[in-house]
Amino acid sequence: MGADEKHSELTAELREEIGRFRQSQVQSLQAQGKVVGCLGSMVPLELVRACGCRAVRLLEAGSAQDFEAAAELMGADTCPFCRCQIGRRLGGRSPQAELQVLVAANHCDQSRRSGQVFGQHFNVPLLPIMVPATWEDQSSLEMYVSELRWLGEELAQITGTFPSQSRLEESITAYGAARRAVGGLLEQLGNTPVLAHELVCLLGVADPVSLVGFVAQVRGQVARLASGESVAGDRPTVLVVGSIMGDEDISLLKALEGRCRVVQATCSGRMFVDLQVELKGGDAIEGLGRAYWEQLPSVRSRPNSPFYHYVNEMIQRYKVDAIVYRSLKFCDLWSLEAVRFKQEISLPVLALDCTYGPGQASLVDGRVQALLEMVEEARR
Amino acid sequence: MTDRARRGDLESGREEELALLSCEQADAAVAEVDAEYRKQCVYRAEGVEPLEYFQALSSYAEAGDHLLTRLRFDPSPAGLRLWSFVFSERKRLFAARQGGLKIFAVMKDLGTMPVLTYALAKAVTFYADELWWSPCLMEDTRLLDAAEAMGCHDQCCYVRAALGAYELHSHFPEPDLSIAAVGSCCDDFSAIMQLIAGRGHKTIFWELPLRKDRAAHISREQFAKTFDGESWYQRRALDFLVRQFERVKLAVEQVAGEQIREEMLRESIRRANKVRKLVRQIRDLAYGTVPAPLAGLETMLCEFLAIHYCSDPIQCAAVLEDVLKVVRQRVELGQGVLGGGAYRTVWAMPCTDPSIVQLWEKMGGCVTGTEYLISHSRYRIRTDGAPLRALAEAVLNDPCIGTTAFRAQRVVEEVRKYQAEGVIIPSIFGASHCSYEIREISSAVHRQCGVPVLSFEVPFSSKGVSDQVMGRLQAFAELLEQRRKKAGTN
Repeated sequence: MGADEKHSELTAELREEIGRFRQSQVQSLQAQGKVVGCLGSMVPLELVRACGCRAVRLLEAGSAQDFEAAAELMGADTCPFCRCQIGRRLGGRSPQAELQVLVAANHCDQSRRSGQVFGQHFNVPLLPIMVPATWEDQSSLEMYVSELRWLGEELAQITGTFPSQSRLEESITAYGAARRAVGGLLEQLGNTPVLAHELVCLLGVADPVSLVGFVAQVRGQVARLASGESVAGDRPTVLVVGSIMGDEDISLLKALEGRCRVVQATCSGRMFVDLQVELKGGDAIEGLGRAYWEQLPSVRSRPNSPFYHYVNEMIQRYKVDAIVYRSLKFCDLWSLEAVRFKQEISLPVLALDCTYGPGQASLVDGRVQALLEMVEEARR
Repeated sequence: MTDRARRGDLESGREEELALLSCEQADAAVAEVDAEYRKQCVYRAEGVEPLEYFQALSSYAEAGDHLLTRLRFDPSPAGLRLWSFVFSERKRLFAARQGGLKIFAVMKDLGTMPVLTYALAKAVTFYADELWWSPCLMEDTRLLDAAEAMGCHDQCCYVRAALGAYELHSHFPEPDLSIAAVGSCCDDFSAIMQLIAGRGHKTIFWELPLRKDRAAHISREQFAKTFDGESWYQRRALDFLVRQFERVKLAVEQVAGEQIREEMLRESIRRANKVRKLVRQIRDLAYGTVPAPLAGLETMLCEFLAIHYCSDPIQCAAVLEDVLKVVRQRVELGQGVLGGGAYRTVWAMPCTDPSIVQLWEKMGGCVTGTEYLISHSRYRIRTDGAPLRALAEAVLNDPCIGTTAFRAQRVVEEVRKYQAEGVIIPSIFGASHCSYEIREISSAVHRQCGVPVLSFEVPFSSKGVSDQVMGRLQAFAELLEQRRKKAGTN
């Protein structure tokens, strides 16, 4: 068996294992308390879990079918990711179909409003939380922390379990371990970004303790996969930034796979994995809030200089050669920033405005190829 | 409907329909207005050369707002003064800059921040968002093209024209400070405000909080009701907003080189309440009387004056007082600018292309209630307690910072209050809120009022209203006619 075949075989095996684990986690959702959907990266899974709930960060999106299914409830000019949240529930797909409570942050106007549609149409209690877009004044962070305290109290009313300091510490430790475990594997999966993405998405749906066990189980396979990649060092490194990437939204990653090393730094990528909460014995909710606040820079922040700072840091850390700036169609916060981003960043930037439609893959493929040819040319 | 609703008069044939004027006729009417009246129509500010604004409307058309030549205007001097006042804002802003006044651009909060900035005598404030209808008024894509060059393409609302205007320096002088409200607002304008700041325009961002609805499953939040407007909000949001206002106040003071003392702010609130009351009175008579004593566009202009006084608080109040006087007279005399049998419709969005409103009136419809996303600008601001807190509380009436259901309810209230027969939603493609609101508003209106809703997207066109929009309006008029026949009210 040649090196490429062996690589494909190992990749396929791992994907199957991830799929099986994911399936088992979805099936066990109801068995572990109220299933609480978390819409937005700033809804701390740690807090939801500490309230005796099963926290699910909603990352499931990307299929044209789910997108279409939501047409009866949402206009044509709406964000595909938000539409898929509704479409999946309408189609009875997990985990949206299992949600008993939804926590929706006002990360953007559309996530705020789609959360309302979800709550209202499916009769699911909605807990909206305010995540300030401003950050220059201390009052914004304080407001966010205050929102988290409130969220904890509301969830405690529903479950009867108060997020005590010890429960929070346990939950923070569990998620910290899961993030570190997944993060450790990501370093080796730069050349297989689809696999890396599927692994990261597990963080959204899996119980963190089980996830640590699963990672331990597949660590050897990942190492074998990485050691078989002889040409990896020669490939350019591409940083992917932009709109949230759903679990089935992989046309871009597929187009990049095998052609370059990929660092996926969207809020459902590196950013989600790298987050670490340091407790240092202080108030756990405050520590949690501060960690999320400081470590998840968003293009939506006003001013959004922390986001640019983060991108530059990633460029340095991973010695990035080019950037794919990927927005979802009608995701204004990302798509309207694209031109400015190109002006601010001194690397080749490919800006893509994507949908979940069927013609997307070939379109993306052609443009990625052109970008990489340009990068290769510059490296020669 | 007000007590003096004229349905009875209508039946007894007492109504009198006043004809609206073409631009040419309006020019002639302006020329006939006596000199004494014209002398009242002057922008005055310390250090600024007095600026007469009551001019032929065609002069404003020639200056760029070409659509004016296709619109029709209220025949009264007060109505013509209103149009002149609104369209002369650009001149006032440049005159103010020349006179050394500070210029503040405010964005998105639509009604509250100017009350803070107008506490200063030597400052002028305008809303950059108001450029939203300029492409249609100008019948020209210059502002949109300039925005597009910076990445603001046609997937976002026409409010992107504001970015174009900043870039072209065409509609206002460079502001000394832009005050941008972000957070619970539409995504496209949030992105635009960031682009404006990113281009080096001095900007302070402040947060519009998320207003939560009281719901059965929310038990750990303390709620309160706004002083006027009856909007429920979580108390923590108000405390947070006060801190936001304190920040902005400090930034404004630094730019102005002057402290805003409590009594200055109280005076500004008093002035704002006066304007808001005038707008409420005009609306109630215009929307609640048959035949309508004021047409849809004139009433819309009055409503929008409440948000920032068109850069002149003193003249703004005088203009509104004048309009109110005329409206009252007409109500007394049974005079209207539209037929008594007009189809009564609430407009749940301001129309980017104002000629569509007049087209609807020409088809036999009228505007009898609105939810223009600025309804919070007509509620009274509390005059007791700390004035900054009172302002912060006023923000919490904003229909856009909470749930879609909240705004839908405002539309329902308008339908009920003014006995509308239908609702029209002229939406904007790409505006992040529109596609979510249309279904919610339609469903609430159907369910609670049993009246039909027409929604359509307003396309940009320099060649008049599209056939599609015309067809939709015509069909809606026919539907309303059929419903009347069925109900035996025709």
